[in-house]
Amino acid sequence: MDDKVVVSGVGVIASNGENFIEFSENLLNGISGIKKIQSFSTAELPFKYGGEIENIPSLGLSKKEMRRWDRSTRLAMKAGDESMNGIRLISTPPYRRAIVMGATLGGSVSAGKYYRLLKEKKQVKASLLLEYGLYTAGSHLSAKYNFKGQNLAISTACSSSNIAIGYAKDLIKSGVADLVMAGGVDPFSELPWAGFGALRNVAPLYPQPFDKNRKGLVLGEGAGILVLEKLSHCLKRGGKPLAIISGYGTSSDAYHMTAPDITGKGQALAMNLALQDSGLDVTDVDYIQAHGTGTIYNDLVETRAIKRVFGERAYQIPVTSIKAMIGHTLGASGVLGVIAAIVSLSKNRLIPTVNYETPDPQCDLDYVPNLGREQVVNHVLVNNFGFGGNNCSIIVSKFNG
Amino acid sequence: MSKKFLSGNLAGKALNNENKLILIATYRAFIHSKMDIKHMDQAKISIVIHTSFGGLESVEQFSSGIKKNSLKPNSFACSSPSVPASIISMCWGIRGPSLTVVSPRFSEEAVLESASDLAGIDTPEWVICGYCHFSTLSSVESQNQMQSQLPDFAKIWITKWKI
Repeated sequence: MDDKVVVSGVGVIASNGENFIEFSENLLNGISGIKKIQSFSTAELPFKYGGEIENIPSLGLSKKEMRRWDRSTRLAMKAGDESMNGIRLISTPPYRRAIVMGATLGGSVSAGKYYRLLKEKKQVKASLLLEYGLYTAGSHLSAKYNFKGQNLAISTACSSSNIAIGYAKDLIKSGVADLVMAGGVDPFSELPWAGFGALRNVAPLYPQPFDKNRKGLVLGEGAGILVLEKLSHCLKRGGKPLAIISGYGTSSDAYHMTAPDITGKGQALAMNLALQDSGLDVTDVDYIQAHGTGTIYNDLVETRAIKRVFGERAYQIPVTSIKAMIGHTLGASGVLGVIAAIVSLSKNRLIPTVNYETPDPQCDLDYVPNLGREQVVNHVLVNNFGFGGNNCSIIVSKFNG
Repeated sequence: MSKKFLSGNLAGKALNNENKLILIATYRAFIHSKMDIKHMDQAKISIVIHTSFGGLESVEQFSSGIKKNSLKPNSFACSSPSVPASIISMCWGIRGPSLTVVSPRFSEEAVLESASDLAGIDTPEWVICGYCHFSTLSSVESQNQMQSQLPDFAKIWITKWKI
């Protein structure tokens, strides 16, 4: 038996769905979670819309824990709880269970609070800074589920969670771990809002990936966690494989702190390495979950990179950006793309790119505009690119068990 | 290349002190290794960096800017822990995988372990390994409370991976 690394648990929380079923249905039906921001004042900001999660479940925490835990920790715990639901770990020793989480800024709400208190010369608590650490969400998850293997926090800007998934796949393939929780999280906070605003690449209303009149990204928040293990391990413990992580590839643009290499070479290299790792050919890929942020350069460069890899076949492969519905969730964006791919693989349906109005002659692929459609899907390429030219592509395949 | 990079406008305006430390350490590691990177396949070189918090100095600067309403995009761009690895990649044209692990433990073993795990994807020929810590107002205060002190440092070494 070819012992592939499979996904056997999924947990997700985003602005258009607080669990896997809700998220799946809303993605397939093109239901957006972008709305006017409520959690902080946007009076002074030129942009007022985002993919904000209105109610983060209390998770049975005490008021003290709710106060102490950063928003990112609570999002990650929510996704972690769902991913582990129904998974029995009796046969997997604790030291063979690992966690690999990705985040761009991590507990930035706590960091902001800590810094404000420090500046105001008030009593500060080290626990606030501890909640900022990118490894904190993983530490809480490992304590709750008794994962005593590696607990790693990967940071490669917005491609963090895809690299975390790839890294987890390698941990399993190399025999370091039997079962890994892998994913990513990033919450709403003042820091990324002000930061992306300063970079002047935020759209004033809705994101319009690949549209000619796109004006930039819209920020979102969320968390996604996958349970990964070898197929044999999954079947042995009575688990149900949901999809296969066939391959992944990462590369660096070596170009600019915030802009992608305009030629698309770096992104194409990541896609080619993912194909190489999976053993698949360009003709096998039948759907692409794009990074598709809605910024002028990202969408243009990603389109170029897809054409570099797939040639003329690029025009036959549907490409979707779910960021039109949930915004750019930074460190969670990769894993949410992978979860969207799992939805398409399991339902044989393509997810629409909503808010698409005017075709761009330079972005001329099939972006599944506004309406989803039925299509047999076997292999999905999921793209995820970050600041500093950190590129990662993953290929997710259907499990035919 | 790095020397020019460090003395240019970019260094003064864009890079925080953590990034400068890591660039100096990388520059010295390249000099010491006598590697001729121009004639190597730069897609076959990986970067693996461990950092304690990463970018905290820029987080502080940027947060201060929010209060004063004088936001500097570079401070935000440097606030991600992944920036030191990206800066190495940009500076020396390295196009292989670049990985930043945020971890409170610093050791050669931990970095090599991460590099070893990463090597599974696309076995690199060389890996630039290292770790760094840069004290900031926040981290010093935090360490005071935890009664521990870490000096500012950056350590970089280059490992021949494929023999």
